Amino acid sequence: METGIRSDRVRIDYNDKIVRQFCVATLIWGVVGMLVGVLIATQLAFWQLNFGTSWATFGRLRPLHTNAVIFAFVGNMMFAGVYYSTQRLVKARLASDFLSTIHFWGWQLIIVAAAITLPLGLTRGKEYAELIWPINIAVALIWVVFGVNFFGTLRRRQEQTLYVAIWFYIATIITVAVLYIVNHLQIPTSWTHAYPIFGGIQDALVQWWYGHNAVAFFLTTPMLGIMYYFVPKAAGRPVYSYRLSIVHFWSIVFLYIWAGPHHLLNTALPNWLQSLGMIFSLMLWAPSWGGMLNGLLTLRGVWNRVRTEPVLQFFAAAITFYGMATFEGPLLSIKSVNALSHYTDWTIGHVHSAALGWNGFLTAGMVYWLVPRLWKRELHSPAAAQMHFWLGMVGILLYVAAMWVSGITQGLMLSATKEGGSVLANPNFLDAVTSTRWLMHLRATGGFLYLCGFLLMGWNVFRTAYGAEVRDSYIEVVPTKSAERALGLCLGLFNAPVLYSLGLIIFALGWGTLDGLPSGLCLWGMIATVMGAFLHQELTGGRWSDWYDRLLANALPFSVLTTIAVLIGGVSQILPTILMSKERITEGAGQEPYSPLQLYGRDLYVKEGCYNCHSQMIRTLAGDVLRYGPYSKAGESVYDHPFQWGSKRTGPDLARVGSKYPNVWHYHHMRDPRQISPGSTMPSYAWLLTERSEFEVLPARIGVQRRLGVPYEASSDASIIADAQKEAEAIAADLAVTGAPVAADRQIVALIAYLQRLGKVTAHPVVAVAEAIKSEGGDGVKAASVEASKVETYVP
Amino acid sequence: MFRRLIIEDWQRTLSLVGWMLFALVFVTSGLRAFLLPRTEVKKLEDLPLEKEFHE
Repeated sequence: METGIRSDRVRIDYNDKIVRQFCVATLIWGVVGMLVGVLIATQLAFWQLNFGTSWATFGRLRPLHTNAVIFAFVGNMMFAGVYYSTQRLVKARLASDFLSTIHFWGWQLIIVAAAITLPLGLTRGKEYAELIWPINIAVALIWVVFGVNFFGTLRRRQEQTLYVAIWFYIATIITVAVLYIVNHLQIPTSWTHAYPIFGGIQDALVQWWYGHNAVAFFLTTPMLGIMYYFVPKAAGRPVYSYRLSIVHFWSIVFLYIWAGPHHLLNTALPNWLQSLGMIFSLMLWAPSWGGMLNGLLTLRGVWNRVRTEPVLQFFAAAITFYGMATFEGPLLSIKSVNALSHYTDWTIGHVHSAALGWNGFLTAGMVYWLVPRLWKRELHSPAAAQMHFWLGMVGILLYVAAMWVSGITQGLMLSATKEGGSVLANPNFLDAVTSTRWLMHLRATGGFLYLCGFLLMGWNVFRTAYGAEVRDSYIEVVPTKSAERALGLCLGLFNAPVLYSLGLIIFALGWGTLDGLPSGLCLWGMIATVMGAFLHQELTGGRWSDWYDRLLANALPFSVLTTIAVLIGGVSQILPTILMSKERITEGAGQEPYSPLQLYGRDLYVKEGCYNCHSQMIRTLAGDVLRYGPYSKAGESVYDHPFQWGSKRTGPDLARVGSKYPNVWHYHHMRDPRQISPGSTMPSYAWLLTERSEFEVLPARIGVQRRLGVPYEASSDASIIADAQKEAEAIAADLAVTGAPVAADRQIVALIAYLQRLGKVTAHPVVAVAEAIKSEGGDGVKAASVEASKVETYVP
Repeated sequence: MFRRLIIEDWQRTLSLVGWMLFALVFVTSGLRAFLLPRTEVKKLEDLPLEKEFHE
């Protein structure tokens, strides 16, 4: 590498090829993800666009859209930005070209695997964590490759001090690994199916701890690192306040992880957790806006260029959207606001203002800045880039405004009551659907405009790169001695500042939690610790700040401290809930295990992605209780692996739908929703009437459920299958009587069994009815219908 | 029953722990940022602006 340079310097050639590859990938997958997004947005206005096929329904494509945008579009952009900026900030080529190549192609293969499996209905049924377990393992392995390559690069760095962008990257790599592994703990039942080890309320908490922090540590912290590198580069001036960026980093990293429960407000989640989630979400206002202002003020003095330079336009708009989204997020985390916004399009608008405005525009700005430098050519058409900006801006505004109006309309209509709050003002759920349909048109139009902008960008980048002779950049540096400021792991963690801080925390906890004399002693302990720290510093004359300064130049102890900061919040919230035994989580309500057929039907419910439009959680709100019945208790879903509380109600809640309608209602509703519910946007699930149930998978699935603690009685494989068949025959017989003949082994029968079970504590009702049929001979079918109507619906 | 079990006293303290830890993190990082020498700040904030070469 050392050619024709001064003898005291070494030349470092950057690996820009990998950055080019990730840039191209982000454009391709961005277009794919947005195209699917426009399609599913249009499906909400025109149900016909579900095309009557299983693989193109909203329920199966929505996970494809979210996964494509988060992990394919933003993921590839993140890798491009991290690899480009890290090499330059630490003055070192990436640790391994081989690992870089494995990283790139491995990630693309994962995306392709996701694009194939999700439309096929192979899913885990947890939002943003739908990919099946073999792909989960691949993701974890490739993430490790990324981590090894990144930290290997830090290890060979020529710049000892770590710039704040590197801190954000470190936090990202560590935290995403922790989140991903914990939320994907599962036991496989086959090569394509598994049950998560957490169930019910535990699963809900772990899922939204993951879901919220996927936003935080996949869509935010790496983007902030990219902002802190690329915005100063584009503006040609340093970040407004480096000091502010330090506070920004530690506050964001520490606070974000606690805020997950704000996705579960007014649900069966314990109140203390809801309050904790809300309070920490509100506290996020400060660091988020600190970071936003730091980014925007970096542009001071160059605002005249913002008018003409697309890169700066995109960056300025992206940071502004970051500020808006991080204002709106805490706002929606206030319990009373959340009562209106949750389960409605308002939340969808919020995430899209962040994804399209913050992530999308930051990507566009970064790519427009990078392309001329990576391909050594002027951008083909700055005018087209400006056109992209305005197409995108109008698209976002249309989309977000439509979702705000739609969401608030839905929230108000569905919660409105009259006659002193005793009667629903809009008892028909479909009124909220039909009232907001025109806004779905506007939403699809906004998304389409945004997609057009990115297509324009793809063309612009292609024309710039086509035929270019690519050459990687390099720098010449004087080698530094890395040992100069070395700080081992032991010295990094066990030193006076850390130990005094630890002592202070322990005494403060004792003071706050104990009573009487121990509490008083802890107060004195706190005072003594503080005084001891001052005395220690005075006596030794030691500069404690030196430890911190050296910490910034030592990646390992820095990473360990970051991990601790991140884990504290997660452990504090999740551990107490996990430690509760399932028997104790009753809250006056319990759950019987599903019958084999009901379990099979539940797996179909998950497979079809019903949770994308239907919740199973009646909140502690008047509107919910009046519409759906008594509010849901934690104990009612304790054996649900995975939980299906949902996050959006395009259709009504199903927590207590069991026995609300006869079997034949569900049969016709699934076959042709509009025959039963005029105005519904639900896809037709006609194939469920012809597809066969594969009961032979049930023994393995029930075996795994048993291992997870679901109290199934020991039984042979044959008897499990026989149970399912017997229950299916009873339902099929009932359907036949009511004019909907169908074979007992069709999927619709299993799904009906599951739906009729929802909200009941009485176990296996239809099996009991089947026994009645058997004992009563020919008239049993009639008797079964009568008996089925008597099955007690749970009322706490 | 559930609420009684979940809202045990030791769990109430988690909110308190959260507040205390955040205050500590915020104050410490704020102090450190404020005390960072100007020369170090200048060096750090100029890192992204260093020139590179192209062949």
